[in-house]
Amino acid sequence: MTGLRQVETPDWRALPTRWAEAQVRLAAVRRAVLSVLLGLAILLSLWAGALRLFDVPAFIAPGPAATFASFAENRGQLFGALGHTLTGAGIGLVIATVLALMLATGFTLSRVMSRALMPLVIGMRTVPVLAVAPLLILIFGRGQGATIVTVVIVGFFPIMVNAMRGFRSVPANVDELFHVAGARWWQVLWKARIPFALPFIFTGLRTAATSALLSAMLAEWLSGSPGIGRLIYDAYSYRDMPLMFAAVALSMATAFALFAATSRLERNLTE
Amino acid sequence: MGGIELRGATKRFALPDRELTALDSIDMTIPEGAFAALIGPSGCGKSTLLRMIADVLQPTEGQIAVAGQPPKAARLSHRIGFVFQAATLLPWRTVRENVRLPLEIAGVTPRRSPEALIDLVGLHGFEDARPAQLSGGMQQRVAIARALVLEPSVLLMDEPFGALDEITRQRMNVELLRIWKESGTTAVLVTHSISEAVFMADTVHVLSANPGRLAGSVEIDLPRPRSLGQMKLPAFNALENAVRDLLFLDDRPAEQAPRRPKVAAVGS
Ligand SMILES: Nc1ncnc2c1ncn2[C@@H]1O[C@H](COP(=O)(O)OP(=O)(O)O)[C@@H](O)[C@H]1O
Ligand SMILES: [Mg+2]
Repeated sequence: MTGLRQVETPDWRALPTRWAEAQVRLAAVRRAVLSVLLGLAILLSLWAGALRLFDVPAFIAPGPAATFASFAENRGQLFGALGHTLTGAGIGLVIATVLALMLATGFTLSRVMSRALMPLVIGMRTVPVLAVAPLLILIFGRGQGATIVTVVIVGFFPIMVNAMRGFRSVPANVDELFHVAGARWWQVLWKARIPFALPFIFTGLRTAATSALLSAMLAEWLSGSPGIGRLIYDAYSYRDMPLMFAAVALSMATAFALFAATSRLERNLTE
Repeated sequence: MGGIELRGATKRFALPDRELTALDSIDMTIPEGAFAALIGPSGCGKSTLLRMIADVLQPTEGQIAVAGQPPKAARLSHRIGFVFQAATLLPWRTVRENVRLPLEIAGVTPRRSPEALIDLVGLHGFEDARPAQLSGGMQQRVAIARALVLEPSVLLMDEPFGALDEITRQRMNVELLRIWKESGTTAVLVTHSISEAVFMADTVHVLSANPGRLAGSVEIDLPRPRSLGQMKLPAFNALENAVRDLLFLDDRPAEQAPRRPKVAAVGS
């Protein structure tokens, strides 16, 4: 039996060190910042160039400079409105996530529950938000309530569907492994199902987060709740085009940042 | 009382159009501390048999005892370790955390630490590596360490080295015998290699298909510790032939096979 221990005894020094991993991550951040700046520069020059080329009057579409001036002048109002919208969208998103994960867990664990509730959930999905918004406003008032409920209705479905796909993605052998070790259902859920489902859940969360901002703004248009959606609408009514463009640009940047943040979070949690 | 007993163990699956008898009254005794090999054509019910011993599936008829208990009681008292053909490691956990998983589930402190088991399977220094950083053979070592961490009475292995190349596989087999000896468990190895079965086992149980039946058992009286050199001995070949005879019990010579259309094999 001599010499057996050396056979195929692999060398752990070949593994990457923490320092090497940190270097790789830093380089990735640098690349990301550069590409965002480059994209922004291209976007701004296209915007200014198109206005000049087609000779668009300033009362229809202001240039980057006028928009930025308005942004600087009204930044208190803009960020206040954005904060209001993000609060509503954020609360709605949290409720949507909790609700979606609870339903997905229940549907995965119980066939009876799935059969009883699934049609209701699908039915809720097919109702157009625009059609029920007046009803929601009637029930939940003209404040954050209607915004939150709208975000929940729009956002919870993609999270739930993706979470269920993720829960089902657990390999059969992993289930058997847990079973043989005598695991309880909540141990399987916590130690296998949720980790395996995380990439799927984040796909749903990313969809929900970007649509959350949009549906919150839509709800504000209709309810008059004082967020960035309402601000865009009002600026348009007063023909304050630079302010409107500044508000649109701000909400676009926020949507992009939300998308990037959830992608980032996903990578940190699933790697 | 760490052995395995099967008495008339039968498993039928209800298919949409008919009933499939995967295993038909299997009688088998595997003594405590023994190494048994199960061999048979694919689809003869080897995995089903292991799953019934591990209480993943329940027999339709018959009794099974693991370490003197029904499979469910044996499973819940952590007397069963299982190794699959795929290593089935959790990719987000390190080697150490993967080996520790059964301990977390069972909520017990082991006599032998996960680190000691990682040493036992020859992965010292890889405690903090992730599965993706390991080769297939190394991943399977982790799976073996994980199966042993609760100190089971029986270690069930379903073609554990089936995905590895021949050379790695022979090395892993030699190491597996050392690990088995050191851990003192009763081992059941499912394999589709005749020489592997003879090399590893005290007894080779041969299954036939449609329905899965025990065609016979061959006692392997080769001395231990086994070494690869034994594979060249006439006694080894004789045992291989005994297993082969049971495997191909009712096969006719190819030239005499009935209803086989004559085809020109030239150039194919
Ligand atoms: N859960 C199941 N449902 C229906 N049929 C199954 C199931 N598991 C296995 N079988 C069938 O039982 C037979 C034996 O399967 P298995 O034990 O996997 O064979 P082996 O491992 O020897 O290749 C096969 O015909 C297979 O299709
Ligand atoms: Mg099998």
